Amino acid sequence: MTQQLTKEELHDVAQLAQLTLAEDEVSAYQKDLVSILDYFKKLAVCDTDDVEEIGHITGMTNVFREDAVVACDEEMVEAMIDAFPAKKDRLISVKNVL
Amino acid sequence: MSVIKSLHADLLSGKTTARALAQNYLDVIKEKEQDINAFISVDDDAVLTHAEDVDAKIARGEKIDVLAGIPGGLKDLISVRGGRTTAGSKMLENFTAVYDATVTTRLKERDALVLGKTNLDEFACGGSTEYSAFGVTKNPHDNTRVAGGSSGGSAAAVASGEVVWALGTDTGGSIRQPSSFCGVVGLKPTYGRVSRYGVIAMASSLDQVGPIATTVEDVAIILTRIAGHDPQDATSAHSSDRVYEDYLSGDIRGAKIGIPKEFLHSDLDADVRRVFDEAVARYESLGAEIVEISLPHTEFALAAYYIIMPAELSSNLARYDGLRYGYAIDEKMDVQDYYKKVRSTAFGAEIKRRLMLGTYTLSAGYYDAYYKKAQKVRALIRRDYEKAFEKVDYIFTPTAPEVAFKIGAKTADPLTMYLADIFTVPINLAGVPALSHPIGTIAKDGVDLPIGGQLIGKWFDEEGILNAAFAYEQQTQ
Repeated sequence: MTQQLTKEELHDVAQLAQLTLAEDEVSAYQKDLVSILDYFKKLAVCDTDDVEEIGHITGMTNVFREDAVVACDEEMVEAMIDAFPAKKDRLISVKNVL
Repeated sequence: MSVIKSLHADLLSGKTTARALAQNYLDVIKEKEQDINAFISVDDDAVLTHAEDVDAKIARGEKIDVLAGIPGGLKDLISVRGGRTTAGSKMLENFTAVYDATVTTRLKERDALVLGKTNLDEFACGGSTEYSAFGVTKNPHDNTRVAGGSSGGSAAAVASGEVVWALGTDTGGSIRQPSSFCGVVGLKPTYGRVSRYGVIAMASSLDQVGPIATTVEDVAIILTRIAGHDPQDATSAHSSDRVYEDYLSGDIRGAKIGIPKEFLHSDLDADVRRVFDEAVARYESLGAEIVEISLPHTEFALAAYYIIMPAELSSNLARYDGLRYGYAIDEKMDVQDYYKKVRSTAFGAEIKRRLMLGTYTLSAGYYDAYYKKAQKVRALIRRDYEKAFEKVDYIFTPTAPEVAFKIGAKTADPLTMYLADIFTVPINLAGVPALSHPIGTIAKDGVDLPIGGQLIGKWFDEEGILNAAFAYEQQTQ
């Protein structure tokens, strides 16, 4: 585990998280994240060689249900459409993708 | 004595009405909110109308539930259809929930009276309710101190008498730690015991909804009404439904309570240690057998938690894109720039920190070293608890390493804030139920500040820890 986190790496991570960092924020986040990642070094001494990582904590596996459409009431649909910040009739208007 | 049962009796006997009760509590909120800031929203008119409905049912002789007309609050992470649900974030400042959370539905079916939505750290990320976009919630015992978090609003509202009960959520201690700081009883149920449907997700493998109240019996009454399988939540457990308040015999003679040595290391605050030791002695005097146990992987829990939780958070919060609901910007721009601008503007600093942390540990090349490693450590922690519960019925620890700290004391250093969760996060990783109940006070600056003890139970043995805490409470009253 490397605990160095360069400013470039931080910008890359921010990019992946769909965030933009202002220049004056970069140093503070870098310092915080480096100190947290450093704390994770603790785990290196925990022997996990023969341990299977956990799936579901109370041991549930697959949960199935019938593949049936359950309609929601029209009022709920209208409320969802109302929440669209930008719309045309009943459709969401999105920003330019290209 | 259960406050809920006592008020219920008053409603049935005509000593008071649901409307008068609601008005009394709304008045308390008006009087105290300036100092406490436990609520994000309160809808007086809707509350009074609902209370009048309850009174009409009583007048008609209809059978009402014990919780009908009893004032409470919901952490503002829990959806109430048609009402504002903010998650304590600018991102959802003007968001109106379009459906009810399952816990909301279950409480509505019983006519429980929800006075309002309580304050929290943004998206439940924090241990002090200082990271809310709607101001800091202050500790009712000392307004210069935090109420704890992230369910600080719920705990402070109960402790200050603004409501009788409240629901919180607990991902790493967010019900138990504020309950300890505010001197109330708070329960995090077994993972899967209570439906998460309609509760804004933080870290899905850890999140649980649970009750906060002033007495153990009240907590049991609420749990009975919110627990149980829900097909809408695929992780909800097929456990049998129980009436938890019926299990409160107050008899714990012969029960084995384990004290894990790893929680009582030498640098634990001396006052916390003293109060805790007195609480252990009290359990012993009630006929419990005290056994020293070991949970050897405890020291790794916090690091594992702060890998798993931000990873899940970063995935859950990817949905906030400013296109379908929530914070939006009315500017012409390319979609990628738009996402970034919306998220960078509307998320607070702690959320951004955790999103970047989670994104980093999940990214190619780091996944095995961090997330996979942490999931293995989680398996070891669960094994610790399995082994311990072969020997003992319950495990008892302090809820937090200290009493409520001063506002601002930990905001400068995120790691210091994370360390405040050290006694509570292992429980979420193991998935077991745990409650915090008051065990004493410690004087700071001339104020007696409450401190809680954490009683941990076997998977799906909420009735066991509730009964043990009830026995303790009966003896101290």
